[in-house]
Amino acid sequence: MKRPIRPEWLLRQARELAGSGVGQPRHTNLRRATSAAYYALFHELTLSVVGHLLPGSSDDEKRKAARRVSHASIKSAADWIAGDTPPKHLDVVVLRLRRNRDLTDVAQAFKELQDERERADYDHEADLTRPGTHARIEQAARAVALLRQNQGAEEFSSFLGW
Amino acid sequence: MGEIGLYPEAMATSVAADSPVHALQHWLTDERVGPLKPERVDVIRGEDADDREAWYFYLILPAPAGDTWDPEQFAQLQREFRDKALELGLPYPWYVIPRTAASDEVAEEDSVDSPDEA
Repeated sequence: MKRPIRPEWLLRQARELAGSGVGQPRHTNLRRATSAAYYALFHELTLSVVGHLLPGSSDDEKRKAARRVSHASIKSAADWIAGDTPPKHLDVVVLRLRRNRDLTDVAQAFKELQDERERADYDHEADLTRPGTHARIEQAARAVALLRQNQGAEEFSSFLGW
Repeated sequence: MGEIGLYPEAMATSVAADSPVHALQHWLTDERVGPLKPERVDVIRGEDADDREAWYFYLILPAPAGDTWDPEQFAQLQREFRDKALELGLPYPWYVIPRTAASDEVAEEDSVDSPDEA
């Protein structure tokens, strides 16, 4: 039985790991929660990319194609939107896309979550807090929602096409 | 104006008083979105996931009433930070990290060396 990766399930896992109410979550759980939150947004982005590039394909075809979308390719586009200097031939379009506040929120969420995931997974000295981890989870959830709300929007389509 | 402090102290980076980083750090301590206002802003220069030299802005926020701060208010604070960073010409990349003043207490489960000892 095929069980696709669903971003909302990863977000649910992240919230469960980060915990709620009284009591202290295990630091390892905060690390895994951060990672799950990042992957929720990453997988939503890969599905959005193939949805944009292969609009007539079946869900199964899109999920297969989504495996070809790399972290690095999303990261470079997200960096340009979030504030990095784009290649000269793209600077006009990047400045235009940055005016879309929802898109810049998604881009910023991606680059921050990716960096946080790196620290959570590899840095022995990472000092994660529960409020901070939940903030990242909700940042990922918000970005996922923005991607779905803006499906087909011009600026989002340009971003996903990169 | 809120205090501008250094966190973690051993890792804090000194920034020149006339730098965009310093200006942004000061600006952030006066910034408020609803009840969300940094108590302190700490800046650390470090390497990011791509091994680039990056600026990390630690926003030391009041403890939230629930599990975390209001996501929309936090997003608004990040937007205003991003706009100001671009306006001031802050060298990219930069990152905003929200956290409370105190580290979380160590969970009881973390106080042992391995799960077998629990």
